[in-house]
Amino acid sequence: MTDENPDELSSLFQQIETLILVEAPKDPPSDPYRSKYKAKDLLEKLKVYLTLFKCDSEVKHAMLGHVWLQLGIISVDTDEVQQGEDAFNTCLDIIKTKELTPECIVTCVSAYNNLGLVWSQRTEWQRAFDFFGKSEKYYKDFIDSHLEPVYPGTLFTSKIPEGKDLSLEKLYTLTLYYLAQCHIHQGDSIQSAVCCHTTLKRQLKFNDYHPSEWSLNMATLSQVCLENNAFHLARECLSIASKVYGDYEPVLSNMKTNDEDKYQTEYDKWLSVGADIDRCWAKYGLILLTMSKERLMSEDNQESLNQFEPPDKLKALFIEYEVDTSSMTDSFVLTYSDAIKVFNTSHKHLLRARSHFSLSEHATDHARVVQEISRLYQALVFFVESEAEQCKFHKRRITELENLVKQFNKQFYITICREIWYELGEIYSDMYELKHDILRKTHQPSAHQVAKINWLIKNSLTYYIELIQSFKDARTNEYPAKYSNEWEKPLLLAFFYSARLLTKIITNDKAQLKKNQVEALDNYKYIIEYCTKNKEAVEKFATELSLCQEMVKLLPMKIEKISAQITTAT
Amino acid sequence: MSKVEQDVETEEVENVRVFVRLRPLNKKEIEANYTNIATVDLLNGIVSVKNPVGYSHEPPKTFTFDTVFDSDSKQLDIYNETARPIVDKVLLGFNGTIFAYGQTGTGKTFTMEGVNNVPELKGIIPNSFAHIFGHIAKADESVKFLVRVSYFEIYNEEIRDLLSKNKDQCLEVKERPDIGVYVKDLSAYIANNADDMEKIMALGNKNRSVGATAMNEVSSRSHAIFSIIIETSSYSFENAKTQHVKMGRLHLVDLAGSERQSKTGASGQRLKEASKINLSLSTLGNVISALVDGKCTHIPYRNSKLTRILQDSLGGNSKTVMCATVGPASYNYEETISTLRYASRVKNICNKARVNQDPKDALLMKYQKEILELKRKLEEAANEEPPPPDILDEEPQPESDEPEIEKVEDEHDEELKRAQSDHQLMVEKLELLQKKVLVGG
Repeated sequence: MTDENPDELSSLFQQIETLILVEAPKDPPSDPYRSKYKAKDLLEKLKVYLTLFKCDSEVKHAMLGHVWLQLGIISVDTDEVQQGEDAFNTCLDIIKTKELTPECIVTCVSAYNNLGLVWSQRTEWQRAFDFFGKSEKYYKDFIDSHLEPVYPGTLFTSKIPEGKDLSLEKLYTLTLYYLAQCHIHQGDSIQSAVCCHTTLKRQLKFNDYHPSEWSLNMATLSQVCLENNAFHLARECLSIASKVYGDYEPVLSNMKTNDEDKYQTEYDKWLSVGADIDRCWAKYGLILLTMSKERLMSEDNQESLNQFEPPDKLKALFIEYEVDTSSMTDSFVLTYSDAIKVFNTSHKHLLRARSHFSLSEHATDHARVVQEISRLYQALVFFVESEAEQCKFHKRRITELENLVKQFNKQFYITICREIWYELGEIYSDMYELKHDILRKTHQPSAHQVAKINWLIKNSLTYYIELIQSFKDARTNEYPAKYSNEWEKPLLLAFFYSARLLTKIITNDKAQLKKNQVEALDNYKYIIEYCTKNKEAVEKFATELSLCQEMVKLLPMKIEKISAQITTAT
Repeated sequence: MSKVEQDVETEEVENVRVFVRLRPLNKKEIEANYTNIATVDLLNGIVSVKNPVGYSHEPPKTFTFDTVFDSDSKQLDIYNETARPIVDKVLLGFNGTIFAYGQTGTGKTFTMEGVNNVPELKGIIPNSFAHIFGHIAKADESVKFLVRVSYFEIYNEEIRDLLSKNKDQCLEVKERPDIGVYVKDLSAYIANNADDMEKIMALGNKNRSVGATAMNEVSSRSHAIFSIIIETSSYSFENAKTQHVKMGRLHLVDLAGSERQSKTGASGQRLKEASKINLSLSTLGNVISALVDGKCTHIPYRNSKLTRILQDSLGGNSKTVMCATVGPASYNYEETISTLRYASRVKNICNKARVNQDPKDALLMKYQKEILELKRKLEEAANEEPPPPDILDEEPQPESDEPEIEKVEDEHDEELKRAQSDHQLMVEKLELLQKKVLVGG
């Protein structure tokens, strides 16, 4: 076999391609690499065949390089990583100085991608990163040369793929995707987000995506933007996600007539993606309102305003895609009329998500959505002027949360219950503060007003106490020596707020009054004792703790006075 | 109830505990001259692993756990220290989960199942069965028990009932607020004794997608979950008509082996620091999710069947123990490290509560003011004896007298002034911001 036989070459190559692409995925778990090993044997044969070629053409080198690349890929797949690495290096040696030719560029970018992967497996991130960097550089240089890449298969089979061959573009999309992961390992999440963004953009451009998955990924990326104040970009991500998502519906409907089963799976997936996009939109609204509030409340100097700016790397990103963004602003809101628009759009999204996550089948998600509705109201309240209006919004939160929490089994959903108890305690207490402010402005508070105040206090106390009690040991009825990190502060606050509320109950019954003060004092003492035993809690609780210490000094005097009054009265 | 048992019960177990068991080099490994690369520090719960191909001065990697066991550990000691507190909790009506995780050949099966006909070599599973029915046998006659078991596997993100005739049917995870997470249409069998249980488990094991596996096979993608539901009904002493029903669930989870997990991409957990690169764009979503902090943003669920089913186990009221097994031989280096990494991360993947704490600076300010007010009043009261009625009450009384109203008015004025100046500040800030908005575009 010393002469070139184009037919044999082509048939051998096609056999290998079929083994790798068609047969290998069907291999049984008991013999997972059967087809790959067969392909490897054929590649060895092909390699020998090519080496025996008389002529020393560039095409021969391109083909040989490609064969080494394929050998390397199979070696890595079958756990012969070192062998794979050697093969990639041989491949690169063979195509040296010809990397930027149309025949070699695809093999070149792929070989560097694979070398990067080999080093990432060894967790040598810098080396992996450097190899992906080389892929990127060769890709960019080739694109600058305005040449058309040749699909490596064409070299063997002389068949020209139908339409424009996108192998090179797809390889580079992968390079970006791998770079995104390297950046995570190197701790640069912003740069990683930029790579993910470009990856998504390229998937869209080259029509290389699944609409449901792609729109979900895009919506997820919007959340990264939100965490970095890049509202303009978050809005663009979400708008495009919604558009691509919506455009898939008619495609799905067509599928229904052809393949009922596939349609059902796809349709269910599509629906749940929709609910996730809705929740991402709602977070957009919620965070925009929250950050707008923080910005309005922050110090008025450049330094503090800078913290509301997105990082430069995210500022310049965009996607070339025509999309309507008018339903939501991307600027910080200043007034109620701006805020209510953001609220309404977000609220609509949450209601849609809530109807998707039914309480009877998706209890946790349902609860989360309802909690988000409450938080959305809470964010809006800041922009509401009148206290009466504010109370109205708080009341809606109470209705939502009370309806929800009573349906949950404390045993299985203790975390959700605790979160909601805390929030309800807080809302009743906020309403108390509001009503109290109104009351202080009236000359002669009516009995009804006083009753209302007491009712709010008692409800708030009920929830704080429920929360506090839920941490007690069921058997010993004792408080834990230490609360978990995420509950420590809320728990201490629950004690702290309860103490304050206890002293605020309006009553003419001196004995009751005294009892309330004593209970409050106990709470303050408990907090101080806890902080003495758990020194690290002090840091999170410094201001409150100093108030507790003051109260522990003052309350006994107050109690003494009440006692004195009781004795004088009798 | 005996004294000893009470002691065990009062010992409060942490919600999630992780223990690692290191088996000794086996005969084959010794004969093949493999070096031992792993050591344990029993006292401090540390496992150290030396890189066999690393530089000589390269320090060993260390991992800390709640408890570590070495080759001298006895099966019963392991049961008593890890699983017993969990089973006790389940008998009290809580949920508990025991995970087993480790590469094939590291002693996972020995730890979980053990050698059945040698009592002292029995593993966690038979010991827990015996424990449950031992408890039932000793219980008071007035207490009734119902023990049901289900057995299913998650293979390629699809749930299959291992005890059903129709085992190819894919089941769905659902969640109800009253009973928590459940697998819809999953069959359940009543077990009357430990023997029944073992038979049911053996039956299910036959139906698993792939049975015993050699290394390097893709088969380890199957997670198997054996659930025991124990319902207890008792009549209270005072009132024979009131029935108390408790329900506890114990999940015994055989997690898909650690080998080749990175390539199958079916770990079922969102592990932020996954150590290798995802090859296919189909996992782009996981990569983006890893960039989301999620404290106040939304992270959509992904390949989460296992996570969903075990969500009670990884947070809230239930007790969980993870048993990871590792081998000491040098050729296991990578898998051992990956198992230890996975195990040490288990605590971090627990569902943490997200408590929404609205900053209450304004409230604290108010508080401080109130304290000053209270001080003033107490001082005043101390100066003029006897105290005039109601002076201690900061609140307006329903039938308050003249001075009280005056005080309210005073406060009102003060409040108003403060509100006005606040308002002025806000207006200025708004104007300023508005200017910035226009200029900035």
